[in-house]
Amino acid sequence: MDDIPFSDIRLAREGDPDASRRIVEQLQRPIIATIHRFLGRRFREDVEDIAQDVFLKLFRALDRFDEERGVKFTTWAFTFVKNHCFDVLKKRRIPAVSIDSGAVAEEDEGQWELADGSVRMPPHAALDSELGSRIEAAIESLSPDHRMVFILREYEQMDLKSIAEAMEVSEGTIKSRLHRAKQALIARLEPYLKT
Amino acid sequence: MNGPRNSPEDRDDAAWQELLRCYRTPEPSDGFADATLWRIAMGRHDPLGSTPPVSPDFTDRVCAALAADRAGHQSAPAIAAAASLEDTATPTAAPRAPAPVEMRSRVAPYLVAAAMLIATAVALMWPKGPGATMPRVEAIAEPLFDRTRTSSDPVSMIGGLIPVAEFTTVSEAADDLFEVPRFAPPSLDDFFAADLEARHRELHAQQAGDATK
Repeated sequence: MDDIPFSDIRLAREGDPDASRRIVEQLQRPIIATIHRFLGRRFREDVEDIAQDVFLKLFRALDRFDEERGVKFTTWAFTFVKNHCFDVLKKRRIPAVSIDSGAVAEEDEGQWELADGSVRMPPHAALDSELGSRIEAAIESLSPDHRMVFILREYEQMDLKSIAEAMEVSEGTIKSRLHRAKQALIARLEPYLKT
Repeated sequence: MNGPRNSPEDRDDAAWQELLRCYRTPEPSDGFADATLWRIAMGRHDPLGSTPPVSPDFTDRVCAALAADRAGHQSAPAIAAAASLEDTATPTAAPRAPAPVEMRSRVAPYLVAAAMLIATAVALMWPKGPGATMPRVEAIAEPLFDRTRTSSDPVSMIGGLIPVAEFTTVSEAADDLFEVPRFAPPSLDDFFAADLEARHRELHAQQAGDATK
């Protein structure tokens, strides 16, 4: 993922709609995907609303972004994603779901009804059959800290330094969390690994 | 963001990466960017976030209300009414009588002071010293003493109570036969002295009678 140009950030601060649109369009896919993967099945219908809340917070805090600190704008944006996702989890008090709970394939398979009346396929349809559901459930069973680190590393391809900045912990902690998350997932998904 | 992947964990085998790719997420909906930008724009012009303008005569109206309050000790509704009446200058802008609740609040301190004065006077006039409480003591002690009994009587109920050791003592100056209640009030001393003499006489008479026999 390429970083956002500083020129666009400066223009967006001044309220330039085109620069704001470029920022949203560049960040919407990784942010929505991260929220989707982090919050899991129970928040499936709220993913885009949650992503919008993240963007609102991000744009309200745009003046606080300091280019001189050497932090990438995307990394800074993912700090908002992480904080907001953790807040959402805390408010709804959703416990981690074990992959062994057997509830993986029992989720509703219906279509999404949107406010404007249009209908689109649920995100579940984007998963590769049952295997996708298994991976989703396995990731969901990780602790929030491990889950976020794993998603940012494995799916958003962020480097360890950026993840450490986004998670506001040291790189060593990130390495440790990543290792544990991966071991837990490999243990759970081993039957599906093609050798 | 696409940093180098050089740690041992990063050198994932192809199977692991292929497995992870099986979990895909939906693309953002078509209107997501527009809806988000609209919300951002609305957030920038949020009417709730801004302070409503203050009317130019706000300070004057507040000062007028405060002045009216100082002058007439009027209640808040009366101040508001007076202020509005001043502005309109209608004939109904006559001074209003203080509200009843205000009258009560003015009288209350005097009522409290009067009650405290009365309580002080009663306390000063109340009888003091041992004599003030003596009638009550006697009233309580009176039924305990049966003036008709003698020391030769067997232990019996006196005033509804059985005399026990804690309530009696043997006077050193008197005969061992006679017990004097510890709690005898001073006003009964004469009675006990007379009683003692009578018992002595009775005892001597009895001894004299025995001697003649």
